Parts: sequence; C-alpha cells; structure tokens
Amino acid sequence: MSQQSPVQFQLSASSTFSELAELSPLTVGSSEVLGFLKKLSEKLLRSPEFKPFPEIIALGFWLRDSQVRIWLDMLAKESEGAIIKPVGCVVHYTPNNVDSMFMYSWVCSLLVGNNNIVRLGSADSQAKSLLLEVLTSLFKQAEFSAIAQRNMFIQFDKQSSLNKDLALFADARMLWGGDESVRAIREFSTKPRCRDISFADRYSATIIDVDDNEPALLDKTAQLLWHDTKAHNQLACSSPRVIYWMGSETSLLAFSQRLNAIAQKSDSSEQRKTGQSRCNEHLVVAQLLQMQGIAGRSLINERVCVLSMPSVSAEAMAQHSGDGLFYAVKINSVEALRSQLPDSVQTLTYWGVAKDQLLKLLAEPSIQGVDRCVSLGKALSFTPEWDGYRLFTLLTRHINLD
Amino acid sequence: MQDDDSVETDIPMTIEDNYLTKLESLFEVPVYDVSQVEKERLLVEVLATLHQHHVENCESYQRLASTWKTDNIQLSDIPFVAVRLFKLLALKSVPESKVLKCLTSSGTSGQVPAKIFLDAITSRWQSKVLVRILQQFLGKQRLPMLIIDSPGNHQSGSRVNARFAGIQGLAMFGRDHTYALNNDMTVDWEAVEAFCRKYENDNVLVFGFTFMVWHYFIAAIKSANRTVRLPNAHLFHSGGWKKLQSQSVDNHTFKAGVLNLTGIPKVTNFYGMAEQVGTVFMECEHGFLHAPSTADVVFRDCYDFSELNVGQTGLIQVLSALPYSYPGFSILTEDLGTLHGVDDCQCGRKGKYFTVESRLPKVELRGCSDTAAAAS
Repeated sequence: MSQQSPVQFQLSASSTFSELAELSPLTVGSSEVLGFLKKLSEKLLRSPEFKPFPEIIALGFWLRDSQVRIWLDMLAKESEGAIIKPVGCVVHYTPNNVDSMFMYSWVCSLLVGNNNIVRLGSADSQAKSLLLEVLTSLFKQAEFSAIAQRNMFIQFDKQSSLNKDLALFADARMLWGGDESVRAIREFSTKPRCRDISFADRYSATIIDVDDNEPALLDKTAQLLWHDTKAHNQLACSSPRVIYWMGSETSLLAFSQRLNAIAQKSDSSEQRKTGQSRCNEHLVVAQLLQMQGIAGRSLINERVCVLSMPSVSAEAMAQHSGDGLFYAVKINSVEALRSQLPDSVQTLTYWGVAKDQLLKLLAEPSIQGVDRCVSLGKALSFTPEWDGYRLFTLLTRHINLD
Repeated sequence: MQDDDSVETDIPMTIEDNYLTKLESLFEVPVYDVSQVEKERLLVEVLATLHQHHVENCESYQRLASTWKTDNIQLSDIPFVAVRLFKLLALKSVPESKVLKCLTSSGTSGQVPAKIFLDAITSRWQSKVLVRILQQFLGKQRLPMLIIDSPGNHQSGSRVNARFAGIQGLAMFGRDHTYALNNDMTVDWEAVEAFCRKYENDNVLVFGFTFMVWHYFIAAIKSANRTVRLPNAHLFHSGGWKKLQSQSVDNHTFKAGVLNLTGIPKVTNFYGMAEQVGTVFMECEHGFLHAPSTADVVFRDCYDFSELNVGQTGLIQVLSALPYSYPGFSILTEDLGTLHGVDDCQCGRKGKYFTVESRLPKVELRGCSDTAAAAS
C-alpha cells in the first residue's frame, strides 16, 4: 500500500495485508465474534437512520443472535467427532449489484473465526456507506479490537497491483461477480492450497401453478414474485428472470397485468422518475428477440415486461437487462422442466407446485442446474448454504481424530 | 372494370408499383399546406403498403410485425420499431443485389453504428423529398456554400458515413463548396476568409452539424479572437443538442452566439436521423419543428408508450413514407420531445409542430460483474 494511493477506502486496525494475515485467527464461534454480531444486529435493527433501507434491516434480522446460534449448532452437528478450525485468511471480492452482499460474505467467514480482507466493489450507495459507518464505529470499541485487527474492508482501483499482493495472503477466496470477474481475479497466483469459492454468472427461475379463478391468490402470487424481483433491480442472481407458467395463456396475461399493477404501486415518485428509460430498454430486448425468432409476443410492457417464449435459450438470457423483465414459458407439467434447467440456473422458486414432484425432478441426474429451491418470496434470503456451496464447511478446516 | 379493348390491365399491380403510385400522390401534396386530417389519410395509406412490403420481404420484420393490424387504422395506431434495432441487426427488405449503399451512423459515441441499406428507389426518393422540403426555405437557386466540417474521407466502398451523407444531401443546394475546417478540426482560416471576402454581398448557405458548428467554429472564432462576417448567410444545422446540453447551450444561446461571432442572421435547426434520411423536420421562424407532408411524429408516454396530447413531453415516434429498402418507416426514437400544436402554428404551416428536448437518459444498472480486478 505504499504506491501513490490507489486506495479509496480502508477500514482496519491493521495497516497492511501482511500485518493482518500474520495474526493468528480467532476460533470458530468465539465469544468476541458472537458479541460483535449481536451488537451489529441490534444497531442495524434499532437505529432509526436505517429504517428507509429494507436491505439493511433484512441484514440485521439475518444475523440476529438466535439465528447465529442455530448455524453454530448446525456446524457442530455436521462435524461431530472432528475439530473445526478457521482456514486462516479469507479474501472476499464482493459484487456491485447488491449493496449489502459484502456483509453476508464477510459474516459467514467471520463467524467461523477467519481473518478477512474484504475488497469492496467500486459502486457507491447510501446503504453501503451507512454499513461501513457502523463497522467503523464498532471497530473503534476496545472490546472488539481483536476483530478490528483481523479484518479489513478496502476499496481500490480495479487495475491496482494490490490485487496481486492480496492473492498471496489468501487461504481462501470468496469470488463474487460473475464469470469475467472470477476469471480476472484468478489470474493472480495464490498459495497452492488456497480455496476459491467462485460465484459465476447465473440466473434464476420460478415455477408457478395458480388457479386464475381465485383473484386473491393471483394477487398474492404476484406480490411474492415482485418481492423477489424489485430489490436490486432484478440483478441479484437469485431474482427470478424466467417464469415457468403452468396454466393457460389467458391466465398468464391476467397474472402479468396484476404483477404490473403491483409493481407500479410499489414505486415511489423518485423511483418512477429514474425508471424513465426502462420501458424502452425492455422494448429493445423484446423486439430484438422477436426479430431473431427467439421470443413470441409481449404480454405487457409497462412497469414490468412479460415476454413469452417457447423455451429459454442462452441467447435470450444474454440479452436480459433486469429491472422487471420476465421471460414467460408455458409448461404443462413439472416434468417439462427436465430439459430447461441448465447449470446456469441458480435458484428455482416455486408456488402452487407439489414439493414431491419438484424433488423427483431435481434428483434427475441429467439436471445440472438449480442449487436452491425455495418457495416464492424467499429468493433473496441469503443462507450459508448458497449456490450449491456449504460456506461454513468450505471456510473451515476439519481435523479428524481417530 | 374490364372493357373489351383492354388486354393488359389484368396484370396485378406489384407492391412496389402500388407503393410508388401512392407515394407519388403524397408527393403532389404541398409540403406544409395540408391539414393534419387530410395528410394522415394519405400518409397512412403509404405506410400500410410499406408495412405489407416489409412483411413480405424482410424476415426479421415479418417475425416481429406480421400480426400488426393495418386496416382502418389511424396514424397513431401504427406500431414502431425501436431505433436501436438498426444497430443490433442488419435489416433490409430488398435483395442484396439491389443495395446501392449502406449508411452507417454511430449515433451515440462509442456505440455500434446503425446500418441502413439503401436501394435505388429509397435513395432517389430521399433526395427528391429533401430537395422539396429545403426549397421551401432556400428557394430554387444554388447558393455559394460554406460547410462547417472537414473535407476528410467519410466513405469506404459502398459504406457511407451518415455525417458525410448529411453533407452530401445539403450540398445539392450549394455551389462553390468550401470546407471551413481542416482534417484536424481546426478552422481553415484562409479558406473561410477567402469565402467571406468573395461573397461579402451575396446570399450564402452555411451548413454544419450543431455540435461541430458550436465547438469547432463558433468557439474557435471566439478563442482565436477573430471575426468572421457573413451578414447575408443562412445557417442550417442538425444533429442534436446532446453534447451541447452539458455546456448549457440551448437554441437561443446558439443563435445569439452565431450572430455575435459571424453576423449570420438566419439560423435554422432541423431534426432528422440516419435511420430516416430525406425526411427532415425543419424549424420555423417561431422556433418550432414542423412535420412535412411525407412524414409525421407521434409523441409517446415513456412509461407505457400511449399517445400523448398537445403540451406533453415524451418519446418521439417518427413515421416516414420513404423507407422502402429497410423496415424503418415507423421508428421509436430515444429522443424526448414536446408536441406544441396541430395545424395552428403562428408561422402558418399546417400539421404538427414540436420541439426536441433531450435524449432519453440512459440509466446504468449495476450488474454483478464489475466486482474487480482487470488482470494486468
């Protein structure tokens, strides 16, 4: 960090990577960390300044003490008969599209005792600044000095040689940000035993079977889908972009109109203003795919755009620009998904579909996609089992004693 | 219909003939002196024929638009193609062998250029219509012409840069064409001064793209502390205000600056685009842009594309009777404009009159992919 400062932000009681990496890690579920997380959660849930930021409140709730203890119990059960220790120093490259993602990545690693260097994305947002302010104030407290020394949040130029330095200290890396970022970061050589946990470009889908003779149910379904979509402008990997619709064209049209109405209502006047170009962006995608013979007709293009297509293709997904765009595919049975779930599908949310049918489907060896299957409305709820990885397990060493 | 003498008349009319017949009769109508109702009636007929032609001859258009309704419709019922598609796809409705040239335009800087394929029919009509419109402002006499651009090479093979095509289009109205800029975009003082001396007392025509006129000519004259005197000139400029908006230069500032530094008293802005060459919307003495008989505009709400009324601001849909070789007769632009009235502009011109406000703001949504680290 001696160069003519490529660093835009740095928070740690350690001043260099090496100083931090040389400190021996804390233990799994240490009392310092539990105390710290408890305090953090309370702050996020109770300070009035966070009220306007649902993602911060959600984070505060997510890391509440009772939840943290459940995770620790889970981990203990899983590793019965072994000693579990942190891997050492974990380097996180966190994504830009979800403001609070860096916290989830970090908390998972902190809880199991690792030292962490969290490279923050370049995008600035109010939510992110507020979170960093909270961390800054907590790091100053004497009771958390061990944590402040062992953890660093840093933001620096993409091109900086700090990337290269950083790689050398990593015992594990959490690489968020999609194919290209993952490839770029992996160019920097690491210790031979460094574990990379990589999050590639993926998209999510939902399967819905709802009786369109029940307006209240249709409404509820649309509410839940919008809940999974609105945050982060549908750009979180787990937000559904594809709707598999078990029903008629008419019912899909009715649903699309409900969804549009709900989405419209949920926008503040400020949000409406910034959405001025959305409809045109969606028109461009829709007409491009229609001209290429990939998409059928557009069921609606207002606050949301629902574009029907016979099946989902990589070309269609490549054009998806988020912000309330849904590719709708009509299917007659759950079975029809057998050929539609490539490995690029991350989360499949479901609604009105029998669980045993889904289980049967997902167990098929030919289906390579879907690492999460949760009911509609829960697409964005982060869990330490994510994207097919058990993060606590991957961020710890298991020492077996016979 | 058939009487005994006719033997040949039962050969059915081709779409091409049908289109050209209708276009001819539209062309007979005065450019600015036909009421909106009457103009729409004629224009819709041409556009419906164009739609049919493109459905039959452009596969991409057919996939998009074959279900569009074209019977008993009004102008505002005509659907549109998003302007960006001409950048993303190569759209043409005539066989490759009939393509004379391909017009390319970068539009917004750094983007993929639009590709507009022109055949003999479309390019001939583009010229005819452009001449007809500009004659309303310039008369029929060719005037000495100062071009605020560089003479550099804008053409390679049959690919023509839209900037060059624009200059070429206007050059038809001038003689003794003189380029005011060097290839490095500095002012060619010698050429400009010679031109001003030679035509001190004559009416002259000046043409350039809005941004270039301001940035490379007007601003350069100012910073060089020179004077240019063209008291009998008429400046025509086009190309949009986007780049000038950041410098807070609006139409009024522009005109004042031009008058102040060059003495040019008459300045006419016009709105047009590479995707619809030939149909230009000229500014009148009262500062409003006017639709000619061969083209029209519809203003659409940004949030649902519904048609807007007089006084409202929204996306501009441009409709033109000319695009035959490519499916661009009805395009939704990314420009925001305001409709100010129909048939009642103080200048006396009939039809719709409007202003163009700005480009639709581009909102960059943050993708997850720019986490970090360009490997160096």
